Amino acid sequence: MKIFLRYFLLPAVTLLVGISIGLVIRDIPKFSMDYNIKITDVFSIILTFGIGVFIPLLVKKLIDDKRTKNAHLFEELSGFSKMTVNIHDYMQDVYNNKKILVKDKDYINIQMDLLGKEFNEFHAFMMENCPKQATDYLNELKTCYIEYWQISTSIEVIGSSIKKIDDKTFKAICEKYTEMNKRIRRIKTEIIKH
Amino acid sequence: MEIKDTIIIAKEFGDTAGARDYDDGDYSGKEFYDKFLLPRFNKAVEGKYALLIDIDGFWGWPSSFVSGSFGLLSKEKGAKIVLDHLEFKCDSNPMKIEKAKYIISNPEKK
Repeated sequence: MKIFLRYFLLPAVTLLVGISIGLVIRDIPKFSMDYNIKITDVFSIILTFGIGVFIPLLVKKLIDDKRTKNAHLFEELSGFSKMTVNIHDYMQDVYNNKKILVKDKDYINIQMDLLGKEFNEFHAFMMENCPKQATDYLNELKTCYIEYWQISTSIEVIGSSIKKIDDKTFKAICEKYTEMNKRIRRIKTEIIKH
Repeated sequence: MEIKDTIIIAKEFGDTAGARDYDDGDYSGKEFYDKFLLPRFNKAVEGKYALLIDIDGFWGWPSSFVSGSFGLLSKEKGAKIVLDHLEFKCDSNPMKIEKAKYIISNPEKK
């Protein structure tokens, strides 16, 4: 029964309905068909079709490009953030242990040096690719980073007579670290906004 | 200003930075200041030329070393004259130049 409905009755009904609609349209004077097509009409149809296809594709490409660019910027920010977190965690451990050894001082010194190299590349990349609105925050981040380096490699941390990081110095280190993270979040906000 | 003298720190002084003062061990900022930076800087000022500080190949750049050398020079002579007569070169890590200039401009800060 299903086969009969699907393969015989449904096509027959469709055919009859189609013929009926055709007859009705043909007999209504409002619907007159001009079978002569101008060459300009052909171009017009092709152009309309082209625009119809091209515009959504272009919009999609622009959205995808922006999404990819933002993903790259976030990746750069996360990479730098991760390095600062690692160094800061190390300093926190040293502070909690209430003891700083020569190897700790060397490690901090080396890591801060490497972070400086990383920051240089990161900052140049971000300045080139970030929205203009984030430029001020990037410059603030540079100052915050230099201040973080300044306190983290100061005589209060790596001086030869220093046996532990004192509370005052560690508080200052944490403040600079927080300032850096604050700027990173602001840069992220600007990237999302634009 | 024309550069007529260059201190290649890694070659003339040592390849690793120490801390600030002599009591902090070898290669301190103060040692660099006394033996290299101050005399050569004074000559540069007298001769009205710039002194190039080449930092490439110098391992580490702790703020205690920088403040013990460039920060001290800035305190003694003034930030403007120091920045006028010093040029820096560090292709491997240009942030070191920014850091040195920051310390010279803010010598009182730690």
